[in-house]
Amino acid sequence: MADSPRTILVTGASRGLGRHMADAAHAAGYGVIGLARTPMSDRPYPVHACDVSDPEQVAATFRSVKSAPGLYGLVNAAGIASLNLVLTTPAETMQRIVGVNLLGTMYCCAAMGRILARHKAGRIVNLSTLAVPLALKGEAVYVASKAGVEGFSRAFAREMADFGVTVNAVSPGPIDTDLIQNVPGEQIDALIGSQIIQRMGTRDDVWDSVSFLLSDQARMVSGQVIHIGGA
Amino acid sequence: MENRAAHQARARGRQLAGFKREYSLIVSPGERLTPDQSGIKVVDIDAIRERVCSSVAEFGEIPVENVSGNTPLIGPERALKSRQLVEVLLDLEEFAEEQLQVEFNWTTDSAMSPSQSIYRDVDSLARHLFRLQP
Repeated sequence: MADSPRTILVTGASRGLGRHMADAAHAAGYGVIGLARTPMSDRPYPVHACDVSDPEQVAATFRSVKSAPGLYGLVNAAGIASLNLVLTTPAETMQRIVGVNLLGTMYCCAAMGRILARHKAGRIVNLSTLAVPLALKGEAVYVASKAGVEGFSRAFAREMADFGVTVNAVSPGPIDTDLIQNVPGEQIDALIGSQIIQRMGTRDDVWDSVSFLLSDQARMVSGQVIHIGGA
Repeated sequence: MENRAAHQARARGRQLAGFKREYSLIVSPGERLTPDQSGIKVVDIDAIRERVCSSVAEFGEIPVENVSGNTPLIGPERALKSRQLVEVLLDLEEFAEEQLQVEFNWTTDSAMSPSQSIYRDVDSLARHLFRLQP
């Protein structure tokens, strides 16, 4: 890490992978600002209330944090899923999943991109899912939203390269979080069986890749999707 | 019957007093408004145009004497690369916040439209900034 502390903004910081990313970044010495729909006061870093699917909330939140010292990175970890067939998924649920996973990522990237373009340096890491390359049955809407995140990340990386900002995506297989609590065990096993490394990943497996992408060592890595577990 | 000049003067006064609604009718390149007549303190359009010109010159690495109101910012004849346009907009966002005391939200669906974009040339961008003022 650089001598002066760098600050990383993490969305979805109240639970699951987002909370772990925020905790791990804090433990690694980064300044951390969390965003979550439900703010918390029990963390050793500030967590602001923000529904990332609401562009006005995102704009207001980024306005309030844009002067934070050393603002350097964004980890978009806010995400929701709904195990359901497309034919039985309500339109409102589709909109909510795309709103949080894809539009939320885009809103936060645009807001953070303006800040980092000023600084002429920075890192953006968007969380996707191994369900995209595996085209999981029963998760088509979730897969579509995350496939959008991957495509967006690759194209946005080209826009931000001019400003010394890298944009990448990390795509984990099943990790033991609330996100997969309603997924049947046999489906989790099948998914793990489809990975190159056939074991369930851990939250630290994800953080290790995110940590690398946030680091100076990843300065020449942009527009990439890292599949945790391999697809 | 009302004197024509007096009528025009009153109409002009109404325009200035309510210029937030009317500015598009009275602002054109080269016309210097005197908004203090309306009691509203704003930066005039010429000053904003000069500020946009200097920003385009700086970030576009163009001699300032080669930048005018007609300098295109988008399209095949554009004076700026996309990176430079973003730098200009970041600079003008700061200018708008500090000097005009308004928020300059640069997102627009017509950003790349040669006929409708507020970024089509220096003048259109300057007029947009001017109109943001209360």
